[in-house]
Amino acid sequence: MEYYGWAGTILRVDLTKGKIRRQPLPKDLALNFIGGRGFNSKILYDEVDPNVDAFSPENKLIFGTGPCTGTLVPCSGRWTVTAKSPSTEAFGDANAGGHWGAEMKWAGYDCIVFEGAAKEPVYLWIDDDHVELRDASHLWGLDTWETTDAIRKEHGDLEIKVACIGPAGENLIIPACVISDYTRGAGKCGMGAVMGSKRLKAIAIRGTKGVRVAHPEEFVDAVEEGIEILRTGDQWWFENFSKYGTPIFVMMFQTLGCLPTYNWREGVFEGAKELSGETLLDKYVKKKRACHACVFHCSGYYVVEEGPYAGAMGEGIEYEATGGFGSKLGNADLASTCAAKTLCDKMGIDLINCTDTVGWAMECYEKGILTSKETDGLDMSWGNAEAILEAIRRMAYREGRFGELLAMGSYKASKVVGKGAERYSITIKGQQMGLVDPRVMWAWGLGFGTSTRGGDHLRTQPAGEYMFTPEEMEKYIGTAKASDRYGWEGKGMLVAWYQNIRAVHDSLEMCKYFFRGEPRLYVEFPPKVLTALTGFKWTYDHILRCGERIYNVEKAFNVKVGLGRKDDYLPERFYKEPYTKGPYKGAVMPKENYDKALDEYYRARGWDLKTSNPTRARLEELGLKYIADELEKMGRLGKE
Amino acid sequence: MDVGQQVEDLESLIKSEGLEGLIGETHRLILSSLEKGNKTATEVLREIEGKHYITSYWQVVRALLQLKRIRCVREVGRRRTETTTAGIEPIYAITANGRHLLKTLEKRRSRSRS
Ligand code: SF4
Repeated sequence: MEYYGWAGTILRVDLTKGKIRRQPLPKDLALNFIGGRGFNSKILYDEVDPNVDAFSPENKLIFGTGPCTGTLVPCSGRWTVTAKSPSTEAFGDANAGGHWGAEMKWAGYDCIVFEGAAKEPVYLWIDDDHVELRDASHLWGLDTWETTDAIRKEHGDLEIKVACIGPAGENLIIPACVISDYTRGAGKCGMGAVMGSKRLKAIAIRGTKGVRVAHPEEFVDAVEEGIEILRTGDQWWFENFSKYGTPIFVMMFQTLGCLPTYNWREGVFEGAKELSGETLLDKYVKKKRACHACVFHCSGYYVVEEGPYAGAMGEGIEYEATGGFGSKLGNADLASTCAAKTLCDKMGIDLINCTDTVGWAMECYEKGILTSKETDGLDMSWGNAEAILEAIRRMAYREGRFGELLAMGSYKASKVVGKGAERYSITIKGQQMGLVDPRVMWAWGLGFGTSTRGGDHLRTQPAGEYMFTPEEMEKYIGTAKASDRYGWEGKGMLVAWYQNIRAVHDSLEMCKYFFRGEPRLYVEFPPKVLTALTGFKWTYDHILRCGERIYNVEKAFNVKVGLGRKDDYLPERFYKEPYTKGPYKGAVMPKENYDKALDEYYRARGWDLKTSNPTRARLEELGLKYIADELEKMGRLGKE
Repeated sequence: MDVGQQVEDLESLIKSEGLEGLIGETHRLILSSLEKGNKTATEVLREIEGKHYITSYWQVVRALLQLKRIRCVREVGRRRTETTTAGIEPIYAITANGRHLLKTLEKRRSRSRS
């Protein structure tokens, strides 16, 4: 079948046998799972036994682009990589921007599914229709920047786009990620480690085919209309985010009292101003760059020119770096956060997992659970920037006893250390959380708890909780009460809606920042643009239903692994340890309220309140009868 | 401009700005706060926080920008602030349109209460 929007081909690479084959994209998959994340999730559910070891050859590693990837659609350069996760031991995926996704699409592929594992290091070279596995033994051991340069040199083409792993992925450390375009990390869930376990060093692509559009004029109109709604309807966001990028969140979240500080103990940081987006722009950002087709260009190209971190440079310095290596670690030295970000990119380490793991180690050090004996002499006191950088290096190379410990990520490391260290691992389902403190942002808390890939802010990212007016909340979600960020009522509905619509954004492979504070964009933009792009008629209701279907497929994978309601709670710190300072001094999220919100959430999802398992009725409504049958066989179908 | 003209303008403005059904109690609270004097979003929030589920600075910023689009408030200056990264905030004043909208919203409110 000839497709518009989608490339129409799934590429299958058997790394064990060294065989490559092409499979036409099934129409059912396209129309019911949209693309990218949706395709990957469905393939993982259907083809991977949830109980295999994440590092076994039976696990699959799936890269996906969406129908919008590589088109004029704003912020459409994203791609998703999916596998069973070594950090959560359950469903895992990660998503990145940049230009690599567009190149994959232009080469003619919606998905690349890696099966098995190579005996020796290899990389996949794609030059449109020419696809081959190449020896990568000369690349093994190189960092991600060196790898990218070496591959480009090998092919004599500086425009080739490369996604690869660094030493972290090769060494199978849990915080390892996949890096594309030098600085764009698909960070969550240890996808870099799964890639390392398959001895797949890189995927290098030259794509020249473009994307076919069904109705070009309507498509351009839809794109222009979307940009206009963003520019006028969300003027504050459009102007400020373009200028500062995500580092703007340092002061935004400081104002809201939810800037994670000292490993999530507090919600305000005395050094926040030094870490702010404004300071970053003044001191280190030299120019702004953008992912494919982005209207914001949020991505700061930074250079540290003097001082102990002179030479640190890179692109896409984000709040997760400035806040994560900053307030979360009690560190007000902005230049050191830039240096840490550069090092993580080169090593191929996820910033969130890394900063949380180092934060955990610092708190354990403060409490005497880890001493200089366990840290191999490293002084892990709060704010010790030198120690932060050294810890990252040791983590990547599993160097010494401390490096081995950090390589497990905070969740697994805390279990090995014991002595109460688990209390300081701020993780959900084994996954570290994005940088928003739920004590004063309750929908974010519920979103973290119920995310299908563990403690993750992006599965939900309910920006509307503090950006939509109560009137917008009433109209689009059904209750103005969800606007009260300290109230539980309406939060279940809000989070379920957000998770469904975010699954759509991830499957279109669009950046979530495009939609952030303007509800009209969530509702009006996707059906218009998809209809013009693909030639099929899409409605908002159908699209939202696709998002719900994707979420249920991921949930079902986790149910098969054995996860349930008990795993949907936050770390105890957020219920029991109030802030001791700042405008929200005393704030906690009362557990009984979280429970009520969780009930409301399961009700909104049509899942069993007691177990959280999906029910037959809801699964069948979503066209997932076969999943209902499988869960029933396992005795894990939710009660109506 | 007479009152009838303003109503007509407001209705069509609201429609053309895609704000139908989205102007309500939040905007009433903001307009009545501005009726007492020109303010920044931070100052408005200080006065109305906790009412009608308003619990964040950005809800106020967003509602103020909506009011600006339908010419119910206008910027009359800027003030340095600790609140935002930008370090500076617009000061807003209520306009004739805004006063009219405020009256309409107050009437609507007392009707719904009676
Ligand atoms: S907003 Fe930033 S992260 Fe998102 S697509 Fe644009 S440049 Fe990339």
